[in-house]
Amino acid sequence: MNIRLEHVHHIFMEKTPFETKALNDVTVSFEDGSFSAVIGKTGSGKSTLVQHINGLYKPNYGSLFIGDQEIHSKTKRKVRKALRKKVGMVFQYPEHQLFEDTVEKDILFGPKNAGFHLDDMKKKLPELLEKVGLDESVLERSPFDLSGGQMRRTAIAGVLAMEPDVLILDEPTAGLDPEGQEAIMSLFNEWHREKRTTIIMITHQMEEVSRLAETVIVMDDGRIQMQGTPDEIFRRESEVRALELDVPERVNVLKHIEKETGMSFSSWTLSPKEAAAEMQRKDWLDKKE
Amino acid sequence: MEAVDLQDLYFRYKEEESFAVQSVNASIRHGEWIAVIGPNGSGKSTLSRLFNGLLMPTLGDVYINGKSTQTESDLIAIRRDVGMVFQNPDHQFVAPTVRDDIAFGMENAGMEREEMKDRIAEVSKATGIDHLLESEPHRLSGGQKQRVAIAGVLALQPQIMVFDEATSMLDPAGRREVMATTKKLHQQEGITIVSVTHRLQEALMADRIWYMEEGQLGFDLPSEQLFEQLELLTHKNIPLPYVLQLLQQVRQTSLQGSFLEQKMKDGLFV
Repeated sequence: MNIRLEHVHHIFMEKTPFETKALNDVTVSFEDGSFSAVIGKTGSGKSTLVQHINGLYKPNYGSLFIGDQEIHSKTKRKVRKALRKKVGMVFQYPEHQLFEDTVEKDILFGPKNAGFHLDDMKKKLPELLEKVGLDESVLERSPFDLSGGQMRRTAIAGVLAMEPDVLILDEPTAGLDPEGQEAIMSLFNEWHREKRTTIIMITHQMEEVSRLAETVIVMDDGRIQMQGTPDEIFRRESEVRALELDVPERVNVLKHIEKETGMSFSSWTLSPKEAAAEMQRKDWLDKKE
Repeated sequence: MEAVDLQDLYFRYKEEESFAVQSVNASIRHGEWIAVIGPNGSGKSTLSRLFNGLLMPTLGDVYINGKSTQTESDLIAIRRDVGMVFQNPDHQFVAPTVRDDIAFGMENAGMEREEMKDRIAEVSKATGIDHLLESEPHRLSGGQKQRVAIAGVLALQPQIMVFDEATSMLDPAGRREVMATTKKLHQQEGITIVSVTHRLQEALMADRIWYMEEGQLGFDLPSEQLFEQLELLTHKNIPLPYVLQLLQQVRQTSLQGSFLEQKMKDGLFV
């Protein structure tokens, strides 16, 4: 589903001394089936932006289009609520929202609320569990007996169960150890490859951006400051750093190799395999004996 | 005598629970740098808290310079010898200025004023915070805060320093500052270091790596050897950071990757 924001303003506590412009004239599109990353320091407006897309907020001025549906300041709550069937959102630390007494009930809670057919949902459970990496034996267990990583998968399964057209991820790997982060990222990568769901991910992990995102949107002070492919964005390193953001590990590593050897890579977001192949073609490292 | 000697060490928080640390036998030589890695819940932080008697063994013993943490009369000396730096930089401050904060531990130890002044000058230089002595700790960046915490510990002249995920709440710049400081303490001051970390890039700067798994010591290897055995990590389901994945790929070509190894040992990519 195509998503387009046109001159969207969002102002908290408008016309009071506490007025804050969380979004300031934001115009941006997300193409159907794309994987985008939204980055920016705390308070830059990333969360406010994505919460317009799932109907939690509406613009004070301007409008947005989710598929054919236009949302503006006068749009009724009912219309925005209907969006949640199409737009799934994985909030930060989603495991904090688990509350049912079994994992199965927790996974089905969201779909049930959104009006999905429970029997259909139950049939899909085994496949879904496999995708998120949970064993079927957990279904009858209390979510609170699971490890942190498993709890997060449970919460994610509740969103994926609805097979939304658009998936919004708000720092999906925050607080996990490297193993947990890797598992969650592969999960969404696979899901995207298979279902071509439009994914919009907020993250502070620049390595995730360079590895998964096709497009990067950089926000600061309620505005979109930069937009482009990961390679285009991270080549503008000084601008990125000026916004108090970092560049991915791979950019540091590849840049360093360039500096030491004088070779240049075709991109700074190459996978390890691609980078090794380019190094071999240029033949610059010590040869094996 | 070893700096640290762990003998048949077991620990559990509650009697009805399983052991968080179990059957660990290992030792650390003076001046060595050990990195402890392992997944969440593997017991690595628990282990580090057994080093200075913050936690006491359920079974077995922890010897610091030959003294058991369970001998009460030795505990004061042990706590002086083993300094700890924790994860959250905001939880480690007690005084309104950096200078007072560094002095706090020494005041408690009843040190002479002149001696304190000398040591503050010395440790603030070693940690690169000598320009921040009059600042309020809470206004500093994460990396600066951790270096102040390190300076406070260092002022008590420990032989061993334990870093319990001291970089995990820092941004990349802060992480690099703290790792550079750690490396300096190890190389220039000869301090024995135990660093608990999730990040392989940091662990590879150490001399040896301990991998914890369900409370046990899964492997104990010189870090050079780990470079040669990256499969060991992938078998354990430990995701390799980009630079190690690149090293793995480079090795499959006709090239060799010793250049990358050296850069990693130097802490260039932390």
